[in-house]
Amino acid sequence: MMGEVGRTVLRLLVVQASWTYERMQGVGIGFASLPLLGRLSDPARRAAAVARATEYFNAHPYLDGVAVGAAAKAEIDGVPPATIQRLKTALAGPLGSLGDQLFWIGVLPAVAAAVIIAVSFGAGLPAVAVGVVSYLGIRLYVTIWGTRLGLASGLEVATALKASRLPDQVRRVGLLAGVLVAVAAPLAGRWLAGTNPGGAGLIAFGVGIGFGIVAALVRFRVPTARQVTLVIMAAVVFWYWSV
Amino acid sequence: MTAGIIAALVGWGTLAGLDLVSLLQSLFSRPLVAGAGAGWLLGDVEGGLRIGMVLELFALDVVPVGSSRYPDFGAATVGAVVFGAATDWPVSLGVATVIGLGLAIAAGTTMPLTRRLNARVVRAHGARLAAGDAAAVSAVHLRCLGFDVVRSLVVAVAAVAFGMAARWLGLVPEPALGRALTVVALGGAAWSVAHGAMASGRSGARWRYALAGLVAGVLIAAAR
Repeated sequence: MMGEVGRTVLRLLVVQASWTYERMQGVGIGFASLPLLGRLSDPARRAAAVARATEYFNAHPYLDGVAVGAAAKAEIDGVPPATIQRLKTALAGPLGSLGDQLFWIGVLPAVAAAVIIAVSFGAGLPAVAVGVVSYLGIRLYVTIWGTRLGLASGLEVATALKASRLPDQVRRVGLLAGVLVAVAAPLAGRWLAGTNPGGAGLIAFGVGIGFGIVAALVRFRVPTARQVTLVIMAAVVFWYWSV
Repeated sequence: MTAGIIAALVGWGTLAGLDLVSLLQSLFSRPLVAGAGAGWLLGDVEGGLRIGMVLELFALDVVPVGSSRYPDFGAATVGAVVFGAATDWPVSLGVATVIGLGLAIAAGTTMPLTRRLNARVVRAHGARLAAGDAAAVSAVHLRCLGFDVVRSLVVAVAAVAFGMAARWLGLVPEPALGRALTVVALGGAAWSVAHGAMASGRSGARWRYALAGLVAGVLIAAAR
């Protein structure tokens, strides 16, 4: 039978479904906390804890379990409400920043780039399947690990998080992602543009990479490559039809 | 294309849309994965991978941070593959990219609508949430999840229908124009991925590693 942690983890997989600009992840955090807060036998204490859990909160979704577990442990231990509020406030920023750097800027592009490299070497659908399963495994593992860490540490969760190896991985994973994406880009260009007559596709790909590097250097961001590409395509169609 | 395949494509696109924010947030919403799956369903895995890879290069420049607005590439890629599968890809890849980017940007605008609907439900149940009513918390959350199921389904139906309509209308251009559009798409994709790789670490070790990776990638690509 699935325990409280298991049910909490399952609910954490849909934690952002009720995201709003007012409470952000608040209601989702409350929803995920319900199995753990079921340990509170006093209905009044449980209701107060559920109400606190649904208030404003925002962090990286993969690491929400850390906050859910820690706040639930604090509620069960009878920690004063103001202290629990401070704990959640103190956790939100660091968990958001750590998760963004580790997953959105690190693991996700690294796995995507690895799949691109494998596909460009002809690995095809199996490479995509391996990438999906690997990433899903990482996502589940981090959610389970974070919930257990929070539940075991309570108010000491920040110290426990710091003592874990997770923050140390940010730099390494970031560098790995940078290398893999950079390796993947020319290989993707070769695979995509290889049969374009006259090498025009490869030349365009090379020019695009150069422009992207310069744009990053000078922080030229608006309009993005998406908009510029669509505008140039419209111009090409207009020019083609007009001559 | 049979009704069964159309239903499977819509289902796949719906899963990709849900994965963006509400469910899992893993790789199902990534263009490369969505494109590969759609290509497999349509019997053209390589076509799906090519379209998915171009759109993935664009998507690698997007960081999906909570309150920011970003394109929804999942179902959009499925729509692009519906258009571009089993065609002469050097001619159709550019148009497929336009369809994918356009649908992704349009689908991205539906997220704030869902969030406003969420807010309305949360506000309507504000008193019960403040009282710590566990049943209300579950009901509100699941209803909001339902909104995103509907949003993802609508976006997937629209994307698949758009891809089919574009194919039926014969939007595959003349070879010269099609190849020119493909060249532009590749240039834009390269710009996007290079910006994505470099913008998150403009100085220090990440720059050096990325530049070293780029040189290595060029050498490997040249040697192939």
